[in-house]
Amino acid sequence: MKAGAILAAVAVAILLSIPIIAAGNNFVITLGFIFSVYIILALAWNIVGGYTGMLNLGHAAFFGVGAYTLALSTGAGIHPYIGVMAGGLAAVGLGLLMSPLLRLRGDYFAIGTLSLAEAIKVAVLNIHAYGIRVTSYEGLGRVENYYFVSAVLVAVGATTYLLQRSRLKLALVSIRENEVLANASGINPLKYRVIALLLSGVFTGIAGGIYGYNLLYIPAEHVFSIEWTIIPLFMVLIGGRGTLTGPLIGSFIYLGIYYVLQFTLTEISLLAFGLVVVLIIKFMPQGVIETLFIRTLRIKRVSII
Amino acid sequence: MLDTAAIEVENVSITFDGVRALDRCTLRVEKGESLGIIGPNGSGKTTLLNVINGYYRPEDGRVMIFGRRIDGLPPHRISRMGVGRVFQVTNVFKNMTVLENIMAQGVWMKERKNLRSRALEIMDLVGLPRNLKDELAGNVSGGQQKLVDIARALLPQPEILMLDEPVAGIHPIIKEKIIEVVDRLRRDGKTLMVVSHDIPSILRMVDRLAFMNAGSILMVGDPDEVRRSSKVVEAYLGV
Amino acid sequence: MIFPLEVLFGQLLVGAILLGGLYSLVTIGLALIFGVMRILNIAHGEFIIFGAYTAYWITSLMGVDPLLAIVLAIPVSAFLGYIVNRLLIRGVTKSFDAPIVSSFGLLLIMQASMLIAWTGDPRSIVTPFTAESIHVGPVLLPIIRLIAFAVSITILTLLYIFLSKTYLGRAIRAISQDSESAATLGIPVQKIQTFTFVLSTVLAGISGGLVALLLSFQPTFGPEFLLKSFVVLALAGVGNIPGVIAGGLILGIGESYGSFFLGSGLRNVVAYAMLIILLLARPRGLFGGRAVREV
Repeated sequence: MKAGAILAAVAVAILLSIPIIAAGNNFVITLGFIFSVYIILALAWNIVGGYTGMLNLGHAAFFGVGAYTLALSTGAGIHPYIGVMAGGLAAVGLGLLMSPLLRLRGDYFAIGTLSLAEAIKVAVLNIHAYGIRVTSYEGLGRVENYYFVSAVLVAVGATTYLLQRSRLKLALVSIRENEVLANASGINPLKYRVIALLLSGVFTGIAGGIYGYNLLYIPAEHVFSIEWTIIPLFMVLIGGRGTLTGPLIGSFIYLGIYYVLQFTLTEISLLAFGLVVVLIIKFMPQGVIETLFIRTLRIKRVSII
Repeated sequence: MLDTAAIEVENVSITFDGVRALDRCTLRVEKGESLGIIGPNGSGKTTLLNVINGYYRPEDGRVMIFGRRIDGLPPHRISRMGVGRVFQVTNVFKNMTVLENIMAQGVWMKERKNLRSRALEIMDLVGLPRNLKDELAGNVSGGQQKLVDIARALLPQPEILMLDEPVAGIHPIIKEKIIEVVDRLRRDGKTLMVVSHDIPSILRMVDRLAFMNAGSILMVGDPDEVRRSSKVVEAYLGV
Repeated sequence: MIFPLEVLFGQLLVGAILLGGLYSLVTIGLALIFGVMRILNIAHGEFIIFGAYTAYWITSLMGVDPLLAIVLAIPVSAFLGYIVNRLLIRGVTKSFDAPIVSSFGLLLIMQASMLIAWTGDPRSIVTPFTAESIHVGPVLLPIIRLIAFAVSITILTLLYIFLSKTYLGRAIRAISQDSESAATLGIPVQKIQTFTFVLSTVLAGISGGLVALLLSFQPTFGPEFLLKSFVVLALAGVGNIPGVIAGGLILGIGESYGSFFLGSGLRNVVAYAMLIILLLARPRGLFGGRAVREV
């Protein structure tokens, strides 16, 4: 517990001091921004994919809807950060729309969410084939956006931490483990899954909004791209599902491997990356936390948050 | 109403695929009584428990708990009225810890505090060593999983507990523990229904014994009397 | 707007049915793996595109007839399927999501490899009869589409007979019902799963060859076929070949009429909308059995 608190404090301190250390180096700040967005997405995906075990392959839709709402609301003259929050709200709306799919069995849920996200993407592309430009707001630039995204990251981290110790987690995990038995214990599976999906959606929508504002240009093809589903999913599965530390560790491993490959094997980086992912799933199907921390290093399960 | 029984089953019938699983079954369990049910395979013992828990809706007849009619209510409503159930097949959430398994039963409960300490007390009550609390339920022995199962049913402090074959296929040491736990519940005044094939064990857990065959209760009474009855012997020997 | 009836029910419908037959074949590989191994193979579309490229290169490098090239491509698809199953699929099949993720990795690998090897240029196979059509009354039947339809339906019929009449086919069905019981009956589950995976990749490869006759294709087109297969699978339910054929036809009809009335940009939206509505209304497929509650 103590060690965890210190670690968390150090992490937040580093997170917040990056713009100062970088001293106006745009590359570092942008990299920090993108990394934070990915980690938010991983933690948000984990709320559904990790705790409830429902493989949401339509996560990108939350992100895209967030970015799009931002674009439309700044177009209407609304303050960009309010537009970003509106993006989170829009994602909650999408989550409600998606929630009937939560009644489906796991693999059908995967098919349904993937198709829903693709349908939304195609529909949006049909309206705005070339994307929307966003006007920058005086005084809200790269550094401010970085702090905004850090705040969202801390919020989703804190939410996961609280979730980890809540009854909600008991409900979600028990449904994941044995739906019939959970139901017999007085738990309504659909209700709790919907709660998880909406929580996951709101953070992803906000992340999409701030990402869009930072980019100042929102091409539908990009913000609705399936990579916003796949990358968080890989991060969570590499680290370990249904914990706070799993997705965090997974994110660092993922981003580390990805960028190293990108700089060394530029031409074939995607190919090499696919191989790495496949190998990780083959040899550590339950993620780093389970395989390395619990089985090899024999760290007690309860001490992992 | 002084003479309200804990459980009243009146003329309940239910048919599955043309087979009459319960045939005008009638049974009365008094408050604070522990009733055992024996009978050959397929005689309808588990079906009777399932009807009382609300998993099946009877085609005919009625079921009452403490004088309140409950047939037709969904299982979780009946469960929240204080009717617990331990299934024949041991059911645990394998990837949750032992303590979490027990606490999961309390997710819906009104009182927010003390869930954890109550779950720990229940562990003591059923004789699960506290050092198992952070083990994954899937990693403890089969008998211990059964104890987890029983502990979970006990968490909301049900007035009525139904146990379906609680000691079948259980390691002798754990079996002893389970019998002790059930016996203690009996002495604490809980109403119990125990289904079992294991006659010596069931005799240590119940006050009265009912004999069931072909979907009906044929005999209820003093355990020794029931098990020596010629009807019972015949049914078991298939004469 | 008023559309002449012969357009609505003639040309459009015929075109839709011909396309639908091919969609059935495109799906069957995915449906088999899903039914027998409970694996949702996200890289399914890549096997189709790989089949298209293999047929393309055989016909353009060796100068053989395109249809013969599709046949000659079979061993190549089979070999790839065997290797993939051996290295990636076997041993990670315990939970339903690990194979999904590893097949996502496979998708990346195959797509990237094909892009590196064959660039992103669109290709297509041109046959002597590519532009030829037969007139049947007022309706034009493109020969190439007729061939693709006929080949698809023939293969599906043969597969149906194989699965229902032969020992191996019955064993495959037994495993798709309940692999543990099948194992206790002495059916070599793992061998048959390997066989099924290879069979599925071969079927995907053949459908890819047919796709190459009709459309131009690129290495990045795989996911599009994957999603079409999902729609058909959702229509058909698991382990049901007549359902797959019917599902393919419905998708073909829905897409053709959808793009006719709503514009071709929304063609895929129609397909996905069909899928989502179906999943919600009939989670086991339009032609699948009734949902069984698993306790």
